[in-house]
Amino acid sequence: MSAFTEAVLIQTGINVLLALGYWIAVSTGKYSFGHAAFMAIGAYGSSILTLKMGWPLPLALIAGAVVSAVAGALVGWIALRLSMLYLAIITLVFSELLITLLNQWDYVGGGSGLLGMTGTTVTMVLICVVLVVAYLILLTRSRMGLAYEAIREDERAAMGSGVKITLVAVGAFATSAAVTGIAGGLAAHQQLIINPGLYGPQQSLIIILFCVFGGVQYFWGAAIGAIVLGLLPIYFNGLADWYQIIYGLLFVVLMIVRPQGLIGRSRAGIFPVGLSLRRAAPEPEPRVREEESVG
Amino acid sequence: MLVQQLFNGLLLGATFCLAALGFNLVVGAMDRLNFSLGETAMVSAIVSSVLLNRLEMPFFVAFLASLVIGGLLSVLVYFVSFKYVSRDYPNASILSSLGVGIVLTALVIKIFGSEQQVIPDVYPGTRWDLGPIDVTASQLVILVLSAALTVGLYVFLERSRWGTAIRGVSDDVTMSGLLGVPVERVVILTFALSGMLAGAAGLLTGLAFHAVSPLDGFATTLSALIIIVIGGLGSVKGAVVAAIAVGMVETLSVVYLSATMRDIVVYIVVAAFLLFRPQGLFGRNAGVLERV
Repeated sequence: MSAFTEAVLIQTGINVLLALGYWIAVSTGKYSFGHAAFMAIGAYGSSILTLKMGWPLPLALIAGAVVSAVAGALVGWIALRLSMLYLAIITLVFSELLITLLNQWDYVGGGSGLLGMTGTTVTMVLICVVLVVAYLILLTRSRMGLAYEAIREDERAAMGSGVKITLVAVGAFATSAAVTGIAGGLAAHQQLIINPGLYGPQQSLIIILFCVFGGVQYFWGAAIGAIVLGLLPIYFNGLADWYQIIYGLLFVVLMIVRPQGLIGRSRAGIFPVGLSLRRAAPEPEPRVREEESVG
Repeated sequence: MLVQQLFNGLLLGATFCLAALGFNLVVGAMDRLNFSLGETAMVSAIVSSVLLNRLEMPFFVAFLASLVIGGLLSVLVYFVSFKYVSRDYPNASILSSLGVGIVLTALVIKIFGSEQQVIPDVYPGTRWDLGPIDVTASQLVILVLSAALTVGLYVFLERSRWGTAIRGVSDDVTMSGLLGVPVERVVILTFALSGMLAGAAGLLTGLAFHAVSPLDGFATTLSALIIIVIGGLGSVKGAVVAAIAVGMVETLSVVYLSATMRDIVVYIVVAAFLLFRPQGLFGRNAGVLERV
Protein backbone atom coordinates (compact mmCIF):
# COMPACT_ATOMS: atom_id res chain seq x y z
CA MET A 1 0.00 0.00 0.00
CA SER A 2 1.44 3.34 -0.99
CA ALA A 3 2.03 6.00 1.62
CA PHE A 4 -0.64 8.16 0.00
CA THR A 5 -3.33 5.47 0.14
CA GLU A 6 -2.33 4.77 3.72
CA ALA A 7 -2.66 8.43 4.68
CA VAL A 8 -6.03 8.68 2.95
CA LEU A 9 -7.28 5.55 4.72
CA ILE A 10 -6.13 6.79 8.11
CA GLN A 11 -7.67 10.22 7.51
CA THR A 12 -10.96 8.70 6.37
CA GLY A 13 -11.03 6.37 9.36
CA ILE A 14 -10.48 9.28 11.72
CA ASN A 15 -13.24 11.26 10.02
CA VAL A 16 -15.58 8.31 10.42
CA LEU A 17 -14.68 8.07 14.11
CA LEU A 18 -15.38 11.79 14.52
CA ALA A 19 -18.76 11.48 12.84
CA LEU A 20 -19.72 8.37 14.83
CA GLY A 21 -18.59 9.98 18.07
CA TYR A 22 -20.66 13.04 17.34
CA TRP A 23 -23.58 10.86 16.34
CA ILE A 24 -23.70 9.31 19.83
CA ALA A 25 -24.42 12.75 21.33
CA VAL A 26 -26.81 13.66 18.54
CA SER A 27 -28.75 10.41 18.92
CA THR A 28 -30.08 11.87 22.17
CA GLY A 29 -30.92 15.08 20.33
CA LYS A 30 -28.07 17.05 21.90
CA TYR A 31 -25.99 19.05 19.47
CA SER A 32 -22.59 20.18 20.70
CA PHE A 33 -20.95 23.14 19.00
CA GLY A 34 -17.52 22.63 20.46
CA HIS A 35 -16.75 18.99 19.87
CA ALA A 36 -13.27 19.85 18.63
CA ALA A 37 -12.48 20.49 22.29
CA PHE A 38 -12.78 16.77 23.01
CA MET A 39 -10.55 16.08 20.04
CA ALA A 40 -8.03 18.46 21.57
CA ILE A 41 -8.24 16.72 24.94
CA GLY A 42 -7.67 13.32 23.35
CA ALA A 43 -4.87 14.65 21.16
CA TYR A 44 -3.04 16.50 23.92
CA GLY A 45 -3.68 13.80 26.52
CA SER A 46 -2.30 10.99 24.41
CA SER A 47 0.57 13.10 23.03
CA ILE A 48 1.75 14.06 26.51
CA LEU A 49 1.71 10.40 27.51
CA THR A 50 3.60 9.12 24.46
CA LEU A 51 6.04 12.00 24.12
CA LYS A 52 6.84 12.88 27.71
CA MET A 53 6.09 9.68 29.60
CA GLY A 54 7.01 7.14 26.95
CA TRP A 55 3.71 5.23 27.08
CA PRO A 56 2.79 2.94 24.18
CA LEU A 57 0.31 4.57 21.84
CA PRO A 58 -2.74 2.31 22.43
CA LEU A 59 -2.58 2.84 26.20
CA ALA A 60 -2.10 6.57 25.72
CA LEU A 61 -5.12 6.67 23.42
CA ILE A 62 -7.29 4.95 25.98
CA ALA A 63 -6.08 7.30 28.70
CA GLY A 64 -6.81 10.28 26.46
CA ALA A 65 -10.28 8.91 25.82
CA VAL A 66 -10.91 8.55 29.55
CA VAL A 67 -9.86 12.14 30.25
CA SER A 68 -12.03 13.26 27.36
CA ALA A 69 -14.99 11.30 28.70
CA VAL A 70 -14.60 12.89 32.13
CA ALA A 71 -14.52 16.33 30.55
CA GLY A 72 -17.54 15.41 28.45
CA ALA A 73 -19.45 14.24 31.50
CA LEU A 74 -18.60 17.49 33.29
CA VAL A 75 -19.68 19.71 30.41
CA GLY A 76 -22.72 17.54 29.85
CA TRP A 77 -23.71 17.68 33.49
CA ILE A 78 -23.53 21.48 33.49
CA ALA A 79 -25.26 21.89 30.14
CA LEU A 80 -27.83 19.15 29.83
CA ARG A 81 -29.89 20.33 32.77
CA LEU A 82 -30.61 23.44 30.72
CA SER A 83 -32.37 24.05 27.45
CA MET A 84 -30.88 23.41 24.01
CA LEU A 85 -29.80 27.01 23.56
CA TYR A 86 -27.64 26.77 26.66
CA LEU A 87 -26.04 23.56 25.44
CA ALA A 88 -24.98 25.37 22.27
CA ILE A 89 -23.57 28.29 24.25
CA ILE A 90 -21.83 26.16 26.87
CA THR A 91 -20.11 23.83 24.41
CA LEU A 92 -18.96 26.82 22.38
CA VAL A 93 -17.58 28.60 25.45
CA PHE A 94 -15.97 25.39 26.71
CA SER A 95 -14.02 24.88 23.51
CA GLU A 96 -12.84 28.50 23.53
CA LEU A 97 -11.81 28.18 27.19
CA LEU A 98 -9.83 25.03 26.39
CA ILE A 99 -8.03 26.69 23.49
CA THR A 100 -7.18 29.69 25.67
CA LEU A 101 -5.81 27.42 28.39
CA LEU A 102 -3.78 25.31 25.95
CA ASN A 103 -2.31 28.49 24.48
CA GLN A 104 -1.13 29.48 27.96
CA TRP A 105 0.21 26.12 29.02
CA ASP A 106 3.96 26.07 28.41
CA TYR A 107 4.33 22.37 29.27
CA VAL A 108 2.54 21.53 26.00
CA GLY A 109 4.31 24.20 24.01
CA GLY A 110 1.72 26.97 24.30
CA GLY A 111 0.63 28.40 20.99
CA SER A 112 3.21 26.51 18.94
CA GLY A 113 2.06 23.15 20.27
CA LEU A 114 3.63 19.72 20.41
CA LEU A 115 5.81 18.10 17.79
CA GLY A 116 6.91 14.60 16.92
CA MET A 117 4.03 12.22 17.56
CA THR A 118 4.04 9.18 15.29
CA GLY A 119 2.65 5.68 15.31
CA THR A 120 -0.90 5.74 13.96
CA THR A 121 -1.31 2.80 11.61
CA VAL A 122 -4.15 1.79 9.33
CA THR A 123 -4.74 -1.32 11.45
CA MET A 124 -5.05 0.74 14.59
CA VAL A 125 -7.60 3.10 13.01
CA LEU A 126 -9.47 0.15 11.55
CA ILE A 127 -9.66 -1.59 14.95
CA CYS A 128 -11.04 1.59 16.52
CA VAL A 129 -13.67 1.99 13.79
CA VAL A 130 -14.72 -1.65 14.06
CA LEU A 131 -14.98 -1.43 17.85
CA VAL A 132 -17.04 1.75 17.70
CA VAL A 133 -19.31 0.37 14.97
CA ALA A 134 -19.80 -2.84 16.97
CA TYR A 135 -20.64 -0.77 20.04
CA LEU A 136 -23.12 1.30 18.05
CA ILE A 137 -24.81 -1.78 16.57
CA LEU A 138 -25.25 -3.18 20.07
CA LEU A 139 -26.32 0.21 21.39
CA THR A 140 -29.00 0.83 18.79
CA ARG A 141 -30.45 -2.59 19.50
CA SER A 142 -30.40 -2.23 23.28
CA ARG A 143 -32.78 -0.65 25.76
CA MET A 144 -30.22 2.12 26.21
CA GLY A 145 -30.46 2.92 22.51
CA LEU A 146 -34.21 3.06 22.88
CA ALA A 147 -33.79 5.47 25.78
CA TYR A 148 -31.56 7.68 23.61
CA GLU A 149 -34.22 7.70 20.93
CA ALA A 150 -36.95 8.47 23.43
CA ILE A 151 -35.02 11.46 24.73
CA ARG A 152 -34.41 12.70 21.20
CA GLU A 153 -38.05 12.43 20.23
CA ASP A 154 -39.67 13.86 23.33
CA GLU A 155 -37.89 14.57 26.60
CA ARG A 156 -41.02 14.96 28.63
CA ALA A 157 -42.53 11.71 27.43
CA ALA A 158 -39.22 9.94 28.06
CA MET A 159 -39.11 11.35 31.57
CA GLY A 160 -42.69 10.26 32.10
CA SER A 161 -41.81 6.74 31.00
CA GLY A 162 -39.16 6.53 33.67
CA VAL A 163 -36.04 7.30 31.66
CA LYS A 164 -33.51 9.11 33.81
CA ILE A 165 -32.96 11.64 31.09
CA THR A 166 -30.15 13.72 32.60
CA LEU A 167 -28.16 10.62 33.53
CA VAL A 168 -28.67 8.95 30.15
CA ALA A 169 -27.92 12.11 28.19
CA VAL A 170 -24.78 12.84 30.22
CA GLY A 171 -23.68 9.24 29.67
CA ALA A 172 -24.20 9.61 25.93
CA PHE A 173 -22.31 12.89 25.91
CA ALA A 174 -19.37 11.36 27.79
CA THR A 175 -19.25 8.35 25.44
CA SER A 176 -19.35 10.72 22.50
CA ALA A 177 -16.49 12.73 23.99
CA ALA A 178 -14.47 9.54 24.52
CA VAL A 179 -14.79 8.43 20.88
CA THR A 180 -13.99 11.95 19.69
CA GLY A 181 -10.97 11.93 22.02
CA ILE A 182 -9.68 8.70 20.48
CA ALA A 183 -10.09 10.19 17.02
CA GLY A 184 -8.17 13.27 18.18
CA GLY A 185 -5.37 11.12 19.58
CA LEU A 186 -5.11 9.08 16.38
CA ALA A 187 -5.10 12.23 14.26
CA ALA A 188 -2.38 13.80 16.42
CA HIS A 189 -0.15 10.74 16.03
CA GLN A 190 -0.60 10.81 12.29
CA GLN A 191 -0.02 14.49 11.61
CA LEU A 192 3.15 14.78 13.77
CA ILE A 193 2.28 18.23 15.05
CA ILE A 194 -0.61 19.66 17.02
CA ASN A 195 -1.37 23.16 18.23
CA PRO A 196 -4.40 24.76 19.89
CA GLY A 197 -5.40 26.51 16.66
CA LEU A 198 -6.31 23.17 15.07
CA TYR A 199 -9.21 22.69 17.46
CA GLY A 200 -11.07 25.94 16.90
CA PRO A 201 -14.66 26.49 15.81
CA GLN A 202 -13.80 25.51 12.23
CA GLN A 203 -12.98 21.97 13.29
CA SER A 204 -16.11 21.74 15.42
CA LEU A 205 -18.21 22.81 12.46
CA ILE A 206 -16.59 20.23 10.21
CA ILE A 207 -17.42 17.49 12.71
CA ILE A 208 -21.03 18.66 12.79
CA LEU A 209 -21.16 18.80 9.01
CA PHE A 210 -19.77 15.24 8.67
CA CYS A 211 -22.54 13.98 10.89
CA VAL A 212 -25.42 16.14 9.66
CA PHE A 213 -24.60 15.75 5.97
CA GLY A 214 -25.05 11.99 5.98
CA GLY A 215 -28.04 12.07 8.23
CA VAL A 216 -28.39 11.78 11.97
CA GLN A 217 -31.05 9.10 11.97
CA TYR A 218 -28.75 6.12 11.49
CA PHE A 219 -25.14 6.00 12.58
CA TRP A 220 -24.03 4.60 9.23
CA GLY A 221 -25.52 7.68 7.59
CA ALA A 222 -23.16 9.83 9.62
CA ALA A 223 -20.26 7.54 8.69
CA ILE A 224 -21.05 7.78 4.97
CA GLY A 225 -21.31 11.55 5.25
CA ALA A 226 -17.86 11.66 6.84
CA ILE A 227 -16.36 9.45 4.13
CA VAL A 228 -17.81 11.54 1.29
CA LEU A 229 -17.03 14.95 2.77
CA GLY A 230 -13.62 13.82 3.96
CA LEU A 231 -12.57 12.54 0.54
CA LEU A 232 -13.77 15.58 -1.42
CA PRO A 233 -10.95 17.95 -0.36
CA ILE A 234 -8.37 15.26 -1.12
CA TYR A 235 -9.49 14.68 -4.69
CA PHE A 236 -10.55 18.24 -5.55
CA ASN A 237 -7.45 20.18 -4.59
CA GLY A 238 -8.17 23.04 -6.97
CA LEU A 239 -11.15 24.21 -4.95
CA ALA A 240 -9.13 24.79 -1.77
CA ASP A 241 -9.90 28.51 -1.79
CA TRP A 242 -13.61 27.88 -1.91
CA TYR A 243 -13.99 25.26 0.81
CA GLN A 244 -15.21 27.67 3.46
CA ILE A 245 -17.89 28.97 1.14
CA ILE A 246 -18.85 25.50 -0.07
CA TYR A 247 -19.11 24.14 3.46
CA GLY A 248 -21.13 27.15 4.58
CA LEU A 249 -23.53 26.92 1.65
CA LEU A 250 -23.81 23.17 2.22
CA PHE A 251 -25.09 23.84 5.74
CA VAL A 252 -27.59 26.40 4.46
CA VAL A 253 -28.93 24.35 1.55
CA LEU A 254 -29.01 21.11 3.52
CA MET A 255 -31.04 22.65 6.34
CA ILE A 256 -33.66 23.94 3.90
CA VAL A 257 -33.85 20.91 1.64
CA ARG A 258 -33.06 17.96 3.87
CA PRO A 259 -32.59 18.90 7.53
CA GLN A 260 -32.52 15.19 8.36
CA GLY A 261 -29.43 14.70 6.19
CA LEU A 262 -29.09 12.83 2.92
CA ILE A 263 -29.95 9.48 4.47
CA GLY A 264 -32.98 9.11 6.66
CA ARG A 265 -36.65 9.83 6.51
CA SER A 266 -38.34 13.09 7.25
CA ARG A 267 -39.70 13.31 10.75
CA ALA A 268 -43.01 14.51 9.38
CA GLY A 269 -43.30 11.32 7.32
CA ILE A 270 -43.75 7.71 8.30
CA PHE A 271 -41.91 6.44 11.31
CA PRO A 272 -39.18 4.14 10.00
CA VAL A 273 -40.63 0.92 11.32
CA GLY A 274 -39.43 -1.24 8.49
CA LEU A 275 -35.86 -0.08 8.64
CA SER A 276 -35.28 -0.36 12.36
CA LEU A 277 -36.13 -3.99 12.90
CA ARG A 278 -35.99 -3.81 16.64
CA ARG A 279 -39.19 -1.90 16.98
CA ALA A 280 -42.46 -2.93 15.45
CA ALA A 281 -44.51 -0.43 17.38
CA PRO A 282 -47.65 1.01 15.89
CA GLU A 283 -47.21 4.29 14.10
CA PRO A 284 -47.38 7.13 16.59
CA GLU A 285 -49.77 9.96 15.92
CA PRO A 286 -48.13 13.07 14.50
CA ARG A 287 -47.29 15.30 17.41
CA VAL A 288 -47.82 19.01 17.52
CA ARG A 289 -45.41 20.70 19.85
CA GLU A 290 -46.80 23.80 21.40
CA GLU A 291 -43.59 25.80 21.20
CA GLU A 292 -43.15 25.15 17.51
CA SER A 293 -46.09 26.87 15.98
CA VAL A 294 -44.79 30.26 14.91
CA GLY A 295 -46.26 31.37 11.60
CA MET B 1 -6.42 55.54 36.95
CA LEU B 2 -9.10 53.24 38.33
CA VAL B 3 -11.88 55.60 37.29
CA GLN B 4 -10.41 55.89 33.80
CA GLN B 5 -10.26 52.09 33.53
CA LEU B 6 -13.85 51.75 34.73
CA PHE B 7 -14.83 54.25 32.07
CA ASN B 8 -13.01 52.20 29.41
CA GLY B 9 -14.81 49.13 30.69
CA LEU B 10 -18.10 50.96 30.38
CA LEU B 11 -17.31 51.77 26.74
CA LEU B 12 -16.44 48.16 25.97
CA GLY B 13 -19.59 47.04 27.75
CA ALA B 14 -21.72 49.49 25.79
CA THR B 15 -20.70 47.93 22.48
CA PHE B 16 -21.06 44.36 23.84
CA CYS B 17 -24.50 45.30 25.02
CA LEU B 18 -25.74 46.14 21.52
CA ALA B 19 -24.66 42.78 20.12
CA ALA B 20 -26.15 40.91 23.07
CA LEU B 21 -29.46 42.73 22.65
CA GLY B 22 -29.46 41.69 19.00
CA PHE B 23 -29.15 38.05 20.02
CA ASN B 24 -31.77 38.43 22.70
CA LEU B 25 -34.35 39.85 20.31
CA VAL B 26 -34.05 36.81 18.04
CA VAL B 27 -34.19 34.43 20.98
CA GLY B 28 -37.41 36.14 22.00
CA ALA B 29 -38.97 35.97 18.56
CA MET B 30 -37.96 32.47 17.49
CA ASP B 31 -36.55 30.67 20.54
CA ARG B 32 -33.51 30.10 18.37
CA LEU B 33 -30.07 31.65 18.26
CA ASN B 34 -29.01 33.44 15.12
CA PHE B 35 -25.34 32.50 15.06
CA SER B 36 -24.57 34.73 12.10
CA LEU B 37 -25.10 38.00 14.00
CA GLY B 38 -21.42 38.25 14.87
CA GLU B 39 -20.52 38.02 11.18
CA THR B 40 -23.33 40.48 10.37
CA ALA B 41 -21.65 42.94 12.72
CA MET B 42 -18.30 42.29 11.08
CA VAL B 43 -19.64 42.85 7.55
CA SER B 44 -21.27 46.13 8.62
CA ALA B 45 -18.04 47.31 10.20
CA ILE B 46 -15.92 46.36 7.18
CA VAL B 47 -18.23 48.08 4.71
CA SER B 48 -18.39 51.14 6.96
CA SER B 49 -14.62 51.28 7.11
CA VAL B 50 -14.48 51.18 3.32
CA LEU B 51 -16.98 54.06 3.21
CA LEU B 52 -14.91 56.01 5.73
CA ASN B 53 -11.49 55.35 4.24
CA ARG B 54 -11.89 55.03 0.49
CA LEU B 55 -14.95 57.20 -0.11
CA GLU B 56 -14.18 59.55 2.80
CA MET B 57 -17.76 59.70 3.93
CA PRO B 58 -18.57 61.43 7.21
CA PHE B 59 -18.97 59.19 10.23
CA PHE B 60 -22.73 59.48 10.54
CA VAL B 61 -23.21 58.22 6.96
CA ALA B 62 -21.07 55.20 7.79
CA PHE B 63 -23.09 54.68 10.95
CA LEU B 64 -26.38 54.78 9.06
CA ALA B 65 -24.88 52.41 6.49
CA SER B 66 -23.90 49.99 9.24
CA LEU B 67 -27.48 50.00 10.54
CA VAL B 68 -28.95 49.43 7.09
CA ILE B 69 -26.49 46.68 6.13
CA GLY B 70 -26.93 44.93 9.45
CA GLY B 71 -30.71 45.07 9.19
CA LEU B 72 -30.81 43.83 5.59
CA LEU B 73 -28.37 40.97 6.25
CA SER B 74 -30.31 39.89 9.28
CA VAL B 75 -33.61 39.83 7.36
CA LEU B 76 -31.86 37.82 4.66
CA VAL B 77 -30.72 35.37 7.34
CA TYR B 78 -34.30 35.14 8.56
CA PHE B 79 -35.47 33.94 5.17
CA VAL B 80 -32.51 31.68 4.50
CA SER B 81 -32.01 30.14 7.92
CA PHE B 82 -35.32 30.43 9.71
CA LYS B 83 -38.38 30.85 7.53
CA TYR B 84 -37.69 28.08 5.04
CA VAL B 85 -36.07 25.74 7.55
CA SER B 86 -38.33 23.12 9.07
CA ARG B 87 -39.23 23.79 12.68
CA ASP B 88 -39.28 20.07 13.43
CA TYR B 89 -35.50 20.18 13.75
CA PRO B 90 -34.61 22.50 16.62
CA ASN B 91 -30.95 22.71 15.63
CA ALA B 92 -31.45 23.23 11.92
CA SER B 93 -31.64 27.03 12.19
CA ILE B 94 -28.55 27.21 14.37
CA LEU B 95 -26.55 25.12 11.91
CA SER B 96 -27.90 27.07 8.96
CA SER B 97 -27.04 30.44 10.49
CA LEU B 98 -23.57 29.15 11.38
CA GLY B 99 -23.24 28.26 7.71
CA VAL B 100 -24.28 31.78 6.70
CA GLY B 101 -21.64 33.11 9.09
CA ILE B 102 -18.93 30.99 7.47
CA VAL B 103 -19.99 32.17 4.00
CA LEU B 104 -20.01 35.83 5.08
CA THR B 105 -16.52 35.60 6.57
CA ALA B 106 -15.16 33.80 3.51
CA LEU B 107 -16.77 36.29 1.13
CA VAL B 108 -15.41 39.30 3.02
CA ILE B 109 -11.93 37.75 2.95
CA LYS B 110 -12.29 37.12 -0.79
CA ILE B 111 -13.45 40.67 -1.53
CA PHE B 112 -11.54 42.84 0.95
CA GLY B 113 -8.64 40.57 1.91
CA SER B 114 -7.96 39.01 5.29
CA GLU B 115 -6.05 41.93 6.81
CA GLN B 116 -7.54 44.33 9.33
CA GLN B 117 -9.37 47.41 8.10
CA VAL B 118 -8.72 50.68 9.88
CA ILE B 119 -11.60 52.64 11.34
CA PRO B 120 -10.37 56.21 11.79
CA ASP B 121 -11.14 58.36 14.84
CA VAL B 122 -14.06 60.75 14.76
CA TYR B 123 -12.73 64.32 15.10
CA PRO B 124 -9.16 63.17 15.73
CA GLY B 125 -7.33 65.14 18.36
CA THR B 126 -10.42 66.36 20.18
CA ARG B 127 -10.40 65.31 23.82
CA TRP B 128 -11.85 66.58 27.04
CA ASP B 129 -10.28 66.38 30.46
CA LEU B 130 -13.10 65.67 32.90
CA GLY B 131 -11.32 65.46 36.26
CA PRO B 132 -10.28 61.85 36.75
CA ILE B 133 -11.14 60.75 33.21
CA ASP B 134 -9.99 61.70 29.78
CA VAL B 135 -12.56 61.39 26.99
CA THR B 136 -11.88 61.44 23.27
CA ALA B 137 -14.51 62.39 20.71
CA SER B 138 -14.68 58.77 19.48
CA GLN B 139 -15.33 57.48 22.96
CA LEU B 140 -18.08 60.02 23.45
CA VAL B 141 -19.64 58.98 20.13
CA ILE B 142 -19.52 55.31 21.12
CA LEU B 143 -21.09 55.98 24.49
CA VAL B 144 -23.81 58.30 23.21
CA LEU B 145 -24.78 56.15 20.24
CA SER B 146 -24.92 52.89 22.15
CA ALA B 147 -26.83 54.47 25.02
CA ALA B 148 -29.24 56.04 22.52
CA LEU B 149 -29.79 52.73 20.73
CA THR B 150 -30.28 50.81 23.96
CA VAL B 151 -32.70 53.35 25.44
CA GLY B 152 -34.42 53.69 22.08
CA LEU B 153 -34.91 49.94 21.87
CA TYR B 154 -36.24 49.82 25.41
CA VAL B 155 -38.73 52.64 24.80
CA PHE B 156 -39.74 51.10 21.47
CA LEU B 157 -40.40 47.71 23.05
CA GLU B 158 -42.23 49.07 26.07
CA ARG B 159 -44.20 52.00 24.65
CA SER B 160 -44.92 51.51 20.96
CA ARG B 161 -47.57 49.37 19.32
CA TRP B 162 -45.06 47.35 17.26
CA GLY B 163 -42.83 46.98 20.29
CA THR B 164 -45.73 45.53 22.23
CA ALA B 165 -46.36 43.15 19.35
CA ILE B 166 -42.72 42.01 19.48
CA ARG B 167 -43.01 41.33 23.19
CA GLY B 168 -46.28 39.55 22.63
CA VAL B 169 -44.83 37.26 19.97
CA SER B 170 -41.87 36.55 22.21
CA ASP B 171 -44.15 35.61 25.11
CA ASP B 172 -46.68 33.47 23.29
CA VAL B 173 -46.69 33.34 19.56
CA THR B 174 -49.89 31.36 19.14
CA MET B 175 -51.89 33.66 21.37
CA SER B 176 -50.49 36.78 19.68
CA GLY B 177 -51.41 35.37 16.30
CA LEU B 178 -54.94 34.59 17.47
CA LEU B 179 -55.30 38.14 18.78
CA GLY B 180 -54.55 39.51 15.33
CA VAL B 181 -50.84 40.29 15.53
CA PRO B 182 -49.28 39.89 12.07
CA VAL B 183 -46.70 37.41 13.38
CA GLU B 184 -44.67 37.10 10.21
CA ARG B 185 -44.18 40.85 9.85
CA VAL B 186 -43.38 41.24 13.56
CA VAL B 187 -40.74 38.52 13.30
CA ILE B 188 -39.17 40.21 10.26
CA LEU B 189 -39.15 43.51 12.15
CA THR B 190 -37.46 41.77 15.09
CA PHE B 191 -34.76 40.37 12.83
CA ALA B 192 -34.24 43.77 11.21
CA LEU B 193 -33.87 45.41 14.62
CA SER B 194 -31.47 42.76 15.83
CA GLY B 195 -29.37 43.14 12.70
CA MET B 196 -29.29 46.92 13.08
CA LEU B 197 -28.09 46.54 16.65
CA ALA B 198 -25.43 44.07 15.54
CA GLY B 199 -24.33 46.37 12.72
CA ALA B 200 -23.99 49.31 15.09
CA ALA B 201 -22.14 47.07 17.55
CA GLY B 202 -19.69 46.07 14.83
CA LEU B 203 -18.92 49.62 13.78
CA LEU B 204 -18.69 51.00 17.32
CA THR B 205 -16.45 48.13 18.49
CA GLY B 206 -14.27 48.80 15.46
CA LEU B 207 -14.16 52.47 16.38
CA ALA B 208 -13.16 51.59 19.93
CA PHE B 209 -10.26 49.44 18.72
CA HIS B 210 -9.57 51.57 15.59
CA ALA B 211 -9.67 48.42 13.48
CA VAL B 212 -11.88 45.57 12.39
CA SER B 213 -10.77 42.17 11.16
CA PRO B 214 -12.80 39.80 8.94
CA LEU B 215 -12.26 37.15 11.60
CA ASP B 216 -13.91 39.22 14.35
CA GLY B 217 -17.37 37.74 13.79
CA PHE B 218 -16.90 34.71 15.98
CA ALA B 219 -15.46 36.75 18.86
CA THR B 220 -18.48 39.07 18.74
CA THR B 221 -20.83 36.10 18.83
CA LEU B 222 -18.94 34.57 21.72
CA SER B 223 -18.91 37.71 23.87
CA ALA B 224 -22.60 38.32 23.16
CA LEU B 225 -23.44 34.76 24.20
CA ILE B 226 -21.39 35.13 27.38
CA ILE B 227 -23.33 38.26 28.24
CA ILE B 228 -26.62 36.51 27.54
CA VAL B 229 -25.67 33.68 29.90
CA ILE B 230 -24.80 36.13 32.66
CA GLY B 231 -27.67 38.53 32.07
CA GLY B 232 -30.31 35.92 31.38
CA LEU B 233 -31.71 34.70 28.07
CA GLY B 234 -34.17 37.18 26.59
CA SER B 235 -33.76 39.94 29.18
CA VAL B 236 -32.98 43.52 28.05
CA LYS B 237 -32.12 44.70 31.56
CA GLY B 238 -29.92 41.66 32.11
CA ALA B 239 -28.04 42.24 28.88
CA VAL B 240 -27.27 45.87 29.78
CA VAL B 241 -26.08 45.08 33.30
CA ALA B 242 -24.11 42.01 32.26
CA ALA B 243 -22.50 43.77 29.29
CA ILE B 244 -21.24 46.65 31.43
CA ALA B 245 -20.07 44.25 34.14
CA VAL B 246 -18.23 42.06 31.61
CA GLY B 247 -16.69 45.13 29.95
CA MET B 248 -15.38 46.37 33.29
CA VAL B 249 -14.14 42.94 34.39
CA GLU B 250 -12.28 42.58 31.09
CA THR B 251 -10.60 45.99 31.27
CA LEU B 252 -9.71 45.60 34.94
CA SER B 253 -8.26 42.13 34.45
CA VAL B 254 -6.13 43.40 31.56
CA VAL B 255 -4.80 46.20 33.75
CA TYR B 256 -4.33 44.39 37.03
CA LEU B 257 -3.61 40.83 35.87
CA SER B 258 -2.59 40.43 32.24
CA ALA B 259 -4.08 40.43 28.77
CA THR B 260 -4.02 36.64 28.66
CA MET B 261 -5.85 36.33 31.96
CA ARG B 262 -8.73 38.42 30.62
CA ASP B 263 -10.54 35.61 28.82
CA ILE B 264 -9.90 33.13 31.61
CA VAL B 265 -11.39 35.46 34.22
CA VAL B 266 -14.49 35.95 32.07
CA TYR B 267 -14.86 32.21 31.47
CA ILE B 268 -14.61 31.54 35.20
CA VAL B 269 -17.40 34.05 35.83
CA VAL B 270 -19.53 32.37 33.15
CA ALA B 271 -18.89 28.92 34.59
CA ALA B 272 -19.89 30.13 38.04
CA PHE B 273 -23.13 31.53 36.66
CA LEU B 274 -23.92 28.35 34.77
CA LEU B 275 -23.37 26.26 37.87
CA PHE B 276 -25.11 28.37 40.46
CA ARG B 277 -27.53 30.63 38.63
CA PRO B 278 -28.17 29.21 35.17
CA GLN B 279 -31.10 31.52 34.52
CA GLY B 280 -28.72 34.50 34.75
CA LEU B 281 -29.22 37.75 36.61
CA PHE B 282 -32.66 38.66 35.31
CA GLY B 283 -33.49 35.66 33.14
CA ARG B 284 -36.67 33.82 32.67
CA ASN B 285 -36.57 30.12 33.42
CA ALA B 286 -33.54 28.68 31.65
CA GLY B 287 -35.47 25.53 30.93
CA VAL B 288 -34.05 23.71 33.95
CA LEU B 289 -35.76 20.36 33.77
CA GLU B 290 -37.05 18.86 36.94
CA ARG B 291 -34.97 15.83 37.79
CA VAL B 292 -36.75 12.52 37.82
